[in-house]
Amino acid sequence: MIHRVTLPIPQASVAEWRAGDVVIVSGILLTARDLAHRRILNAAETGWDLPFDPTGLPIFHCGPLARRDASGWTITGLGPTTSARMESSTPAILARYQTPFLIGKGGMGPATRQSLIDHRAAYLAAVGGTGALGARAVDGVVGVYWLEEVGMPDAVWILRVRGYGPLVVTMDSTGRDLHDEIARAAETRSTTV
Amino acid sequence: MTRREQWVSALERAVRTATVVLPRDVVQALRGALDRETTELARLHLETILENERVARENGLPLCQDTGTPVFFVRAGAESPWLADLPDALSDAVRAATDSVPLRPSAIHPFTDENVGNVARGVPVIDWDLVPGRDLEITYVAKGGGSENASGLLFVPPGAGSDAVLRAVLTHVVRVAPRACPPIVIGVGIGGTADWALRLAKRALVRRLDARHPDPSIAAFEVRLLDAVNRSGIGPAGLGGATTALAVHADFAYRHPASLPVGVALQCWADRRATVRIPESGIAEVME
Repeated sequence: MIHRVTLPIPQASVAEWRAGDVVIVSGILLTARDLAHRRILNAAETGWDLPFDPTGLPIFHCGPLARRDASGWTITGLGPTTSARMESSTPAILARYQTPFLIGKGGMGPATRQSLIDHRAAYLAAVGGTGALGARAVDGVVGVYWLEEVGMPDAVWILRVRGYGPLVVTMDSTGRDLHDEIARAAETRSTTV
Repeated sequence: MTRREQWVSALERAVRTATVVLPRDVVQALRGALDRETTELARLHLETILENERVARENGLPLCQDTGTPVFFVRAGAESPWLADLPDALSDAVRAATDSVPLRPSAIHPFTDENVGNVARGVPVIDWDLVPGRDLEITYVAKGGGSENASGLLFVPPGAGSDAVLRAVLTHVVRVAPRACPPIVIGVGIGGTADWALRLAKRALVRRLDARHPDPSIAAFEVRLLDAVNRSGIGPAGLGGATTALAVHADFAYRHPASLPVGVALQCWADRRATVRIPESGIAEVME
């Protein structure tokens, strides 16, 4: 099944997505890697105001490649980074910011799987390495935060995208996890060699 | 143009080419994989990868936003008159490409997390292979972080033979391949010391995908491992299918009686490389 969605999207719609569905996204999302996750949670714990509001925005595990000229920022590379690095901080983020879905690659662990069930959210896998296609789907840079402090890949980029995808729902709100299923099957097959 | 400027310009062009244009042998292997895949998701992922290859090439965009750790594999003719001048030229080329392509700043201090660009202590990585002759052959590889994290150093019981090596590498690869942007290229270094096993694995990654090792026993190992990895079903993007790896390249060195280290190095499907030759004349030339 293919879902073409425009953000913001109600949580109830995300809860209906099933593992194996394909999603094409338009609208505003934010990028955050492990450093940005730690900074966001650190701000929450210390009562420090974030310079942006992650509430309700999909989180893309991505360190973009960008070029700046007189007319502003152009994204020249946009694609997923390994999501496993965000496993420890993701449940707290999902609980606090009503994140509708995550985009990344490689899947995540059991804590996130449970958290996706609890918050009726989903994890979507983008095809790793397809940064040029991603760049072409960016409609504009809404904002960039912490660029000076952590550098281009680890900064938080708030981006408007149009028709970004294909993304595959690999962890859904019923607890299904395609990464885990395929890994288990692969392990079984490889022990018989 | 001084000699130095000519080198930097040729090397910068090689870095750009590797970053933007997927080598022909890799594209062919990906097309072959698409022909073999039957499930909808596996085909969708390979079609997306091939579409990305076209968009990158036609628009001069990097294939992947992770433009990688810059690595140069240098086959250095011991009698080349230019050896001493090369390291600075390599760093200058990476600096120039960081501005012109541009490359993502990807050199980060391990403790402070400070991101200083793409030239720093230990970056670019330069692997020197001293060989007889008067030519320098420099292959640039953009090494992505996801596939680098999937590297392995295994210690197989010595004397257990090639089957034990195969099983150890297979177990490792099946565990890590989903996170290394499959379909991957697998480099395996068998024997030597621990560091050497990994170095052999890394160097093996640079070969053309269709090249088999000249030693028939190693070539047979490559074929068997590729078949076993592809039977795992991990598939393109790790979401199921018949193509988990595009190629296996192995190499070996004699081992200590008590030790059989096996190095495993992986490259993502974006197997980005380009070669520059500097012959005795000192005129650098980007190779096809």
